[in-house]
Amino acid sequence: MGYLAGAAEVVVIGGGHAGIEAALAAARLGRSTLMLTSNLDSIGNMPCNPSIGGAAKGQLVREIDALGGEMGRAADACGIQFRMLNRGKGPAVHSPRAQEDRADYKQYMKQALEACPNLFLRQAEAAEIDVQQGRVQGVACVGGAYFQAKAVVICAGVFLNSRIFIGEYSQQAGPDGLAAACYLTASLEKLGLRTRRFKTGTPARVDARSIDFSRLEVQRGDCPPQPFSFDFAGELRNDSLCWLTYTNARTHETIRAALDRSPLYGGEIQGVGPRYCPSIEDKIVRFSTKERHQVFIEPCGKHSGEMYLQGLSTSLPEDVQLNFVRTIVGLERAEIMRPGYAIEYDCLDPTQLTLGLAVRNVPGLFAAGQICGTSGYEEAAAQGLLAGINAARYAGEEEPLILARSDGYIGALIDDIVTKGTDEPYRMMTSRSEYRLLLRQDNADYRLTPIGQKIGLLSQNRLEQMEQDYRLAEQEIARLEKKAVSGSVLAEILAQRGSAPVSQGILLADLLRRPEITYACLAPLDPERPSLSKKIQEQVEIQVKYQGYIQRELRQVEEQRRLEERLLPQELDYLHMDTLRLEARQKLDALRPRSLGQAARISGVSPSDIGALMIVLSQRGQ
Amino acid sequence: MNSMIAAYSGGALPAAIGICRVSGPGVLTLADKIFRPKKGRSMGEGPFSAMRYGEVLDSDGRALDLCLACCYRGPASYTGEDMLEIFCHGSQAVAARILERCMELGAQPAQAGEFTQRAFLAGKMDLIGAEAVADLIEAQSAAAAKNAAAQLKGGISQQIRAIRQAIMDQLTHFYAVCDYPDEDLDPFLNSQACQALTRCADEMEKLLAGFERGRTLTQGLPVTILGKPNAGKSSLLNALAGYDRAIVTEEAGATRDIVTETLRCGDTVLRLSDTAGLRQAESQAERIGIEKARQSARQSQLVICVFDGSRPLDDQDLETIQASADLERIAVRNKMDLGQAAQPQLEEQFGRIFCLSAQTGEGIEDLCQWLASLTPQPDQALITSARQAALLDQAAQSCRLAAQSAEQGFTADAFLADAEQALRLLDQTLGESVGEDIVHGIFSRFCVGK
Repeated sequence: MGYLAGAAEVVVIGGGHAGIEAALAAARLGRSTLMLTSNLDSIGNMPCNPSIGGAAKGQLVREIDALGGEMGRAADACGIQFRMLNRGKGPAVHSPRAQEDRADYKQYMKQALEACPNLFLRQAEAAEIDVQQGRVQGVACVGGAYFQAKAVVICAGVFLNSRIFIGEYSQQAGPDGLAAACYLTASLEKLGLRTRRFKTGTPARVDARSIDFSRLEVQRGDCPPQPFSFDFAGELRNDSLCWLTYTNARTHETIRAALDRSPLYGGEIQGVGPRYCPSIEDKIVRFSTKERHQVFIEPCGKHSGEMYLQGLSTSLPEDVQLNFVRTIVGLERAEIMRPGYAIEYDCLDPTQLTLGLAVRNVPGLFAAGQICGTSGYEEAAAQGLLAGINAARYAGEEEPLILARSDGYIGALIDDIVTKGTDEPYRMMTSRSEYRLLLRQDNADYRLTPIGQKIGLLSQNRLEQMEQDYRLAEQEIARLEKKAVSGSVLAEILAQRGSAPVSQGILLADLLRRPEITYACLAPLDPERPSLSKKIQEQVEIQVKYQGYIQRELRQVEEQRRLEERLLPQELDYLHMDTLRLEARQKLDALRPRSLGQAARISGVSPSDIGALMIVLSQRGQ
Repeated sequence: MNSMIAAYSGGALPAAIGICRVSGPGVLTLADKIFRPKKGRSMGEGPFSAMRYGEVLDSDGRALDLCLACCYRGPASYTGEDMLEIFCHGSQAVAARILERCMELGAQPAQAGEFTQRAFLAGKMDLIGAEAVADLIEAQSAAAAKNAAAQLKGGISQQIRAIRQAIMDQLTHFYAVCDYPDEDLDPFLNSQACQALTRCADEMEKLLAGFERGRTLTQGLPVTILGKPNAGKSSLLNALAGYDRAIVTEEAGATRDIVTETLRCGDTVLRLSDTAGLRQAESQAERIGIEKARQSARQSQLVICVFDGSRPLDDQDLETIQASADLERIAVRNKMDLGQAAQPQLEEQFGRIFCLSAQTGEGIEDLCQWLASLTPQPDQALITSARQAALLDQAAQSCRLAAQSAEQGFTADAFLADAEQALRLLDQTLGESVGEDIVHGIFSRFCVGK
């Protein structure tokens, strides 16, 4: 059966946000790379919200860009409205987000893949991972094509045995009417991998012509907009509008009355859904005292008449969807173009992966994206990038690249899912990082560009540009730390900003440390100030203002590093360590943590187990 | 994997009863060889966790002792392993021979704290529990024992958890607002955070205030007796202690060194220091003694100023009043059996005056009762370990700092970093996150066998 259709060092299964990054990274690192996708027209599709970024996700996109990925550039090129979220809550939680033109985005990504040397695309549904002699040999597809491969990255998204639900109706299908992939789960299970069933959902899209915008609150992009990419040059499109409206008591009544027709509450859906991204029926049941919920109405693109109803994700029957949407102010005459639906799919238990996103017991097999139990385009792309890098490095017999939790949100994301696992689709959040003041969206390049350059994804030129920027910031900070000011201009500025007066001279840096003082407002006091770019000014301001906090987090990173650097020999016989509790022995045996630091984060491994492990290690002389 | 360990685990010998403890694989076999119950099945066959009466056997089969012993089957034991405890008669020779015999039968001498370390590693207790065990062992009074028992049950843990939760609430609110910018949640306000964090810092400081009292429970309240030569300081010490401990002579200036006695009044443990009489010293040795007396007074939590109540105050008495002026103090008018002189200065200077005779014992009871009332009531668990106190102190400071920064208008992403630091420190107090140093530090505090 089958025929030899070709060979590549790295084969990537899937053309979604994870697959794109994985394929581009592997090809850019010089490996012959093949992307298999069941539909070439759906590469880079956004089947849910038409936006990239958001809280914590925006940080991920900046990191992807800083490390040499594509998502940031695509989002800049295809964005139609840019906003920085959480302004006013401090630089550590600033998160960029952009509304995207879905059609443009797909086209941009397909062209980027087609233009990439070493990278080939093939429409085919992967059916089986061929593993022989203890390692991956290739991929067999449903049409009979067999592709030899040294490494395979599975980025199958939500397509494995996927089933959609709209009220009483359900059908085996992927998102946006695409076909489900019905063979790969069985192949993965045959390899001994544990799979599970997760669920997610999306709201209806309505026709823009049927919305009464005059009754809605408008939301515009930032002025000026900030791009995602650190080397963006040019103009951003930023003129599209989003709109805000609210559900009301009638909406809630309509939904409540139809709950018996919901597959979620009728028990048809078995999969575990995300708590943080609940359907509207979930919100109404669980937060029954809340009188209204926000609904953001977002355009799906410049040339699309479809409007996305953010906040109204649902799997209720179509007639109920239409009824409750029409109870909402501005949507009284709304016409639904695509109904909302829930989707259930197979994914892998991510604790079967290493920190390098390799499947632990199948050498040559990697996985990234929603198949690893995450949710969101950005989370998928971040994993795709790392899995692609590591598949390429595996093919080249190099050590895997592992990002620490202190390197970025990407490191925290991967460490979380492979170490702790997840019982629901995992979403990145600012609360998931213990180093948020270090891992800001503004300094992702400082943290990751040296790594991207070192492994060969980024040019020397881009590294030098970054280093130059931070050098200038450093010089300016040194100058502020030396220059004292005093006099009537100072007194005036302080009075104006409600800041305590000073009796003698004061260093510019000390002034800047005051919460109410900005770098810009000190300009009249500081005629020698060099002319610096906005980016560098921002760095100066953040680094001076938050210096104490930043240094404290750096010390914590240093303390943690000792545990992270105590590597655990992979051959340790955990099952016979009698001083460890049984649960800990089993967890450690299954997860094979890389370091004592990772071991300490495994749920079910208690501090006393870590204490015992330390004693075992010290007895072994390690 | 673990070896079998044995150690003497009772109080200082000689005593009425001593305890020899063995833990680890092989204990049941050892038990059969070393202890023969008078009735029923052998030790290794059970019943377990039950007191058995019988003979401790020496290597030649002769009985070393006739006493009680108890065998425990892991994990239902203190260390989680199989264990044997022999409650022998408390002579040095018997206990030593029993231990020796255990070693002959394959046990290793236990390292300091090793029993508890094993218990900890077996998941039998958290770190606070482990420390409380040390305190329970060191406890000198019923009140201290009660406090240690309350800590073991998690009294302190509960209070710390409540504070932890309050800090957590602030963080949760902030993260919710940040991670869900599209939801109309209540805004996170600096002013509210400042209030809540200040409350948390206050709570922690209240717990810390208990530390001093908690330490008093376990180590005794430091008390210094001051007074002119021959006012009867040593007699008072002896009267309180109940036997002649310090040299008591008619000759003034007999006490040159500081004599310290640990004694108990009700539930209060006192570390009572008797000092050289305060006067113009006549010799170098006496001068040093007097300087030591002043120093001891400054380091005490209470100074008992002793006066000869039968005579009017003189210059040397004024010296005593002066030396204790800024300190927590009471006055004792001694020698009341010899008559009562008017001493109006004492009424002015002292809030509390006891009239007694150390010689006859009259009035000693009142003083004792008052001293007993100094015990903090063990109705609430108190912090007693210096490690807990240090962590809690740092946590309170971090919390306070966070509250201040919130007030000054720092953004929440920054000032909450301090709140998170407080949280980490609280977790360490609870033993829920462990650094190598903590584990080792705690267990090095234990004496062998505990």
